[in-house]
Amino acid sequence: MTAVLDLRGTPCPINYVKTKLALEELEESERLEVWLDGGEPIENVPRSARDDGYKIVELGRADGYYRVIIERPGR
Amino acid sequence: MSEPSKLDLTAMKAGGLIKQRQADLFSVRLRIPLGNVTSEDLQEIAELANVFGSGRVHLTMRQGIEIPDVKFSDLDAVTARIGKLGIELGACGARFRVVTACQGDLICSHAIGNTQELGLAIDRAFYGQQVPHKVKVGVTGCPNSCAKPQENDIGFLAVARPALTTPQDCIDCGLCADVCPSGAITMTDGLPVIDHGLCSNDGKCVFACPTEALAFERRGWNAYVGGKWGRQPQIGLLLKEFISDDEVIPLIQSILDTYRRLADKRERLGELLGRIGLEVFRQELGKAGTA
Repeated sequence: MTAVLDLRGTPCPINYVKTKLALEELEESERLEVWLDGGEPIENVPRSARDDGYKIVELGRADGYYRVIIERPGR
Repeated sequence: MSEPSKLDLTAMKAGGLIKQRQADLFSVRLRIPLGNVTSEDLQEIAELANVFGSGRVHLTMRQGIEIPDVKFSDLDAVTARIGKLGIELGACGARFRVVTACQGDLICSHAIGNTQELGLAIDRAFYGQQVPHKVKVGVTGCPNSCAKPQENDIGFLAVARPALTTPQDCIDCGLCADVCPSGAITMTDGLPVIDHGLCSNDGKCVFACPTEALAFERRGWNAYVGGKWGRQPQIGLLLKEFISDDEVIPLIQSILDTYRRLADKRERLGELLGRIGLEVFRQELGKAGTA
């Protein structure tokens, strides 16, 4: 069961900080689903997670927001 | 007023010591390329403002620093101590002025160009040169144009051309199309198709791409000429696109050569361009050899 972090309405860079903290809790190959607003949040948060070494496995749209599934890579 | 000092009058003419409206007081302008100053130097500048000025420091419109309210008799001492820091006086008048720039890819997530390296190279090559009228240069790291290159006599704006370099990594999320401010991307058969006629080369799609399927296939600088403010403001005109780092200094040299050759007395580069037009200016640049 993938945990969901609802960051709708959470501005930058708080949304990134919350995502980062949640990602650090993951075991290898475990996934986190993050819900993000359009604009700056969706432009910045997946990019930052990617730059931190996580893998974006899926990015889809829901009603008025984005659902991003991020995976902690295995060794 | 005290005795005229040993002050180098040539240096005074080159600017940097600005006569204030108040009798006997000068504002000392420092050359601070790109607005970068070390904390050590900043402490010494603060100390100079306390000892010789009024304890006030002014941040100028072009990222520089001035120490106002310095007495004429103290100018020698102040300039000597500034000199010890390796800082020169700031240029005034009909000279190539200090270069301004945003921080570029040194810190900025939007930046696609190294404004610091380019700006310092330009400053080193041309600072203080005499020209028909003031020449200001601005360097900005992306099309957001925070450093406003188009309002300078010569401006450089970093651009980067995106391409789908590893299509097998694309997860068909369409985020690139969503974030593109120019509407230049359409998702077709699960992959982004970029209309380079609409693209502003700002890199947003590449930065947003969660899987790095998009990358830059070309980087460079767009060059603008003839921007100015003053009573009749005008925006700089696009002279060249996607020039390389190595082409910038020769281009500025040929612009300055052409400007010196064609300008009327005290005519700004933008005024010259308004008088002869961009196309004639381009032809004249060609005659200068390097453009």
